[in-house]
Amino acid sequence: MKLQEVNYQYKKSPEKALENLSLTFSKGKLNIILGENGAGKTTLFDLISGALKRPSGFFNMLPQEDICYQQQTFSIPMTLKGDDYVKLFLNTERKKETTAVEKMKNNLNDNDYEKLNRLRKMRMGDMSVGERRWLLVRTICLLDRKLHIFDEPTAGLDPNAREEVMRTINSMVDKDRYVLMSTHILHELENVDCDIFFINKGELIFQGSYQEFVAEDKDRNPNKAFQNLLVNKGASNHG
Amino acid sequence: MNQTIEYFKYFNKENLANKMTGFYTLIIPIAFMLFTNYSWINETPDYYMSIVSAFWTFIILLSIFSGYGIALLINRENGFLKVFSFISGSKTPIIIGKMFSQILYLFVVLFVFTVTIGFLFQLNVFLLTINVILLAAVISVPLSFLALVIPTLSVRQETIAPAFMLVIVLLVNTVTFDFQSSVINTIFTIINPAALTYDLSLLISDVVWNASFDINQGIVILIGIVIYIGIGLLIINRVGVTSLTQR
Repeated sequence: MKLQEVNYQYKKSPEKALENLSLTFSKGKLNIILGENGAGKTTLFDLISGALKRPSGFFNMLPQEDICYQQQTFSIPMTLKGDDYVKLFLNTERKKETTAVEKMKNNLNDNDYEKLNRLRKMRMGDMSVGERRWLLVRTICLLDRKLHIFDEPTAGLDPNAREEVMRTINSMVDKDRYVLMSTHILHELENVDCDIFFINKGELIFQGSYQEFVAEDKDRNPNKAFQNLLVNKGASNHG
Repeated sequence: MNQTIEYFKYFNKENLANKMTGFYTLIIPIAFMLFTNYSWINETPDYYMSIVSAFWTFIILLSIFSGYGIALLINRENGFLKVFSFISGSKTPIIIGKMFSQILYLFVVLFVFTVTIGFLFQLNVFLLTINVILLAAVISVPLSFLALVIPTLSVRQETIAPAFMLVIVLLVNTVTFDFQSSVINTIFTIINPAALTYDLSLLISDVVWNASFDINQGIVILIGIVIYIGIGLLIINRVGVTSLTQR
């Protein structure tokens, strides 16, 4: 999947959300989109997925049925049970070949299967934020798609839940699938084989591995590297 | 089809969980009916279909426009439509599943309302029930298609929900308005969904209670139904899955 000099502007916005953005995503690695709030990350995901109508400059994009797109948040009634959501995700799949329970048995390790089964019996409102997010991500990861998009899947989670969600997403990466993810929690990328794309005000200001990214700070602190990139390259790109 | 059934089941559970909806669409109309027609408890009027039909019309419009149209708009704004249209490969099973779930809910609410007021006021519960079931069976799908206009609007739910309640009350209060012109009255019946629903209820009541049928009124209502379904079919592809009020 390739983007070449993509420009995008919302109708009511005076500024471009994406400006001359060129990047290439690869399979077999986690593709990470970084940027400040409002940098254009979700816009980019909406365009890649086709949720927003794409302008010119998008190449080798996948059709909707090959894409699974996890949004940052969406409202769910807390009175419903985890099982209602598991079934909703797995039984509404377009290319459904097995039941939700069979799919879980066939694709989960013992620990995850046991945890998912426990959460299925609980009301959503009785779960912790981390458990709800894990249930959502773990269930979405059972869907077999060529492109998975995760928009800040670890936001608001404690370190243990974050670790679980990252492990689950990382397990999705293989040579036949694109996995795209945005995050603001940079330390969690340390042990992940990933390509980082740093977007600022709709423009790409950095592309490289995690090691190359942290090299932007003398102490190899990813948060400092993030700030240095914004100050140095973000400022230079905008005169 | 399986996807639509799965969404139908999900939205049924959501309706059961949402107790406030029952308050607006059932408890308030029953309370208002009792309050405004208290004298019926002592003496049942000879003809009560015009009053009962107005209440049915209010319940139907509220359930369809608010419970379906505005609910879809909320699902668009909170990301539900986006997430699940990618899981299902299309938004259509969600829209249709929600439609039939809301129609089922409407049947239950109308049934409970009719039986309750029927027993309270000692009305003919059997014929009233047949009347209202036929009414809901004919009008619920066309009104649901018309309600698809709502999720194409670029407005926030906080703005549209109270505004629509006022619009529905206004529409229901004008159902018997006489423009002193049969042509304008006919056009009004077609463009005002409350007037169409109300007139259909009276038309059905003529069939159920008197075994008579006004063919001209039947044709007007049929034209309205075809127009509503046509509008829905034309507009269904314009129901977006991304928020129209946030960037």
